[in-house]
Amino acid sequence: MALAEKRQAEKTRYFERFSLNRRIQHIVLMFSFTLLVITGLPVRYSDSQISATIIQIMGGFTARAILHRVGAVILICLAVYHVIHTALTHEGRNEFRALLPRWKDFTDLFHMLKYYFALAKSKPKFDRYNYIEKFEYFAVGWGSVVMILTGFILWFEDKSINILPLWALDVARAVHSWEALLAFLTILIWHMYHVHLKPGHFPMDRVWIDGKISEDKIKHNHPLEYERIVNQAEKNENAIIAK
Amino acid sequence: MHCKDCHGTHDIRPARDPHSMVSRANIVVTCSKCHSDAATAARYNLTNVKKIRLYTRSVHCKLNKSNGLPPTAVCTDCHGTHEILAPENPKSLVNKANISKTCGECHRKQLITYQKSIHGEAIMSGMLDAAACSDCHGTHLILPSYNPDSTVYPTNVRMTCSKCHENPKIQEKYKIPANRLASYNTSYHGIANRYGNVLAANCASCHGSHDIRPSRDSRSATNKKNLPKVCGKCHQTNAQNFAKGSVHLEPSPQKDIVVFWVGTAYRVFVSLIILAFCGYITLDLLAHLRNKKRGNG
Repeated sequence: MALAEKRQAEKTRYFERFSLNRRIQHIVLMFSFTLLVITGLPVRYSDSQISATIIQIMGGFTARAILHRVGAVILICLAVYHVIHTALTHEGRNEFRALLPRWKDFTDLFHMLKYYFALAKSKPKFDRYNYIEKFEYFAVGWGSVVMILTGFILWFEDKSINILPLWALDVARAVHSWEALLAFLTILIWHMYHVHLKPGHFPMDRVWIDGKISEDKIKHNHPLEYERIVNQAEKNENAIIAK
Repeated sequence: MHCKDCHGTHDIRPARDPHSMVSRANIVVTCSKCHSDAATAARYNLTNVKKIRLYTRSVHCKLNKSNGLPPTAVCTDCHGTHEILAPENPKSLVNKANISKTCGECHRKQLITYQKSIHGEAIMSGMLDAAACSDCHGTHLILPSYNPDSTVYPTNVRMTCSKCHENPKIQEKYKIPANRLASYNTSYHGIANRYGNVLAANCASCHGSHDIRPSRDSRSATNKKNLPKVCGKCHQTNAQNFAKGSVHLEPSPQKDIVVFWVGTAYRVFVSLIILAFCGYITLDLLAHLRNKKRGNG
């Protein structure tokens, strides 16, 4: 039995879903995001015992503030790199195009809801990125822009106060704090569900580490992309044969 | 209590003689004979025999110790000598109405500043609820402001001021604004201060200490006109914008409106989106269960 399984595994074909470059970007994002959350949320919940413990472990409030800025600089560098990579490379442009929302994403969501309520027999057929993944991508993008802007206002408060009234700095602080909570909860609930807890993905989908997706999975989760790849391959083969 | 208890009997010397029982070098020991003695204290109902022990830890007692000089302030400097009266007595040197003058005998500069402050003016006009020296600095255990145990150490100031300013009776009686501590505690200054940062502004950084005046007074540090300069003590700019908003933020539909509505909008938005996530995940899980059942059946 074990041998049969092994043979089966050997026969399984894999497709590259995320390039090494994209995987490293994800890991850097993961690291800076975690650092920012750990060093930032204790300020929002400054009365809680957990916050006090976290701040104590980090070596006090000033150390926390410095670590938060370290996390911020890493995130900003990543954001700048990501924009440049997206604009200037073939891969970046292709990925961005694949992530752009289309009308089909709305109909897919509607279709999926119908399926959940047993009004449709099958799930919608997704392309390379489904509406969940697209939503997450643009949520990270939007969130980063808001956090970096408000963060800069607060980091360089002596400069911002020359331009903005005091109440605007308080608004920046409120936005920074709420947006942080939103980002944290989105990752904790939405992202963790879809990559870890969702049936079939538990305990973890390894795609973020090795970038590979099995033929089974791509056929099941991204059928439109799969069909396109296979068609393209056949065309290429035909082209070779025709030569 | 007799003359001899303090002055001795056959060895009476003038107070300026360092060997005299009532010299500055020895007076604390002389007073302690009775005031640190539990039995005597119990007999005459003397309050708190620990006071002298606290005093020996104070800056007044310790400052000159390393130089071998007598303490800077001794019992008699504050309590007097032959005319010692209980603090409740209006004529007592340590009665609240008189204590600033008593301290001012040595702390001249502070007294002059204090007398022009709202606290000093209130005391002078007979409102004895106002803060006198001892309300902020303590009595026997006065410590320098750089000592972390001091009541006026940067991270202790907010609680020292709050003894009166968060007292509902005093707030009501003198119409002083409430919610000062809470609105400070949630500010970035307050959070940093509560986590031990001594550089973040505390009450005294903005309001001053001996020279506190209400913000409606144009001489006050917290008067809108003076805020840019006061904020500029720490921040690298004297921007006029410091005066456009509240330092003690209290978001509500009446005050700090923009912060209030931005916060409320976010509260609704975040709640709805999290609710949507949870709803979607529930539907997804139910669909998986349904498929599993069908698969098994």
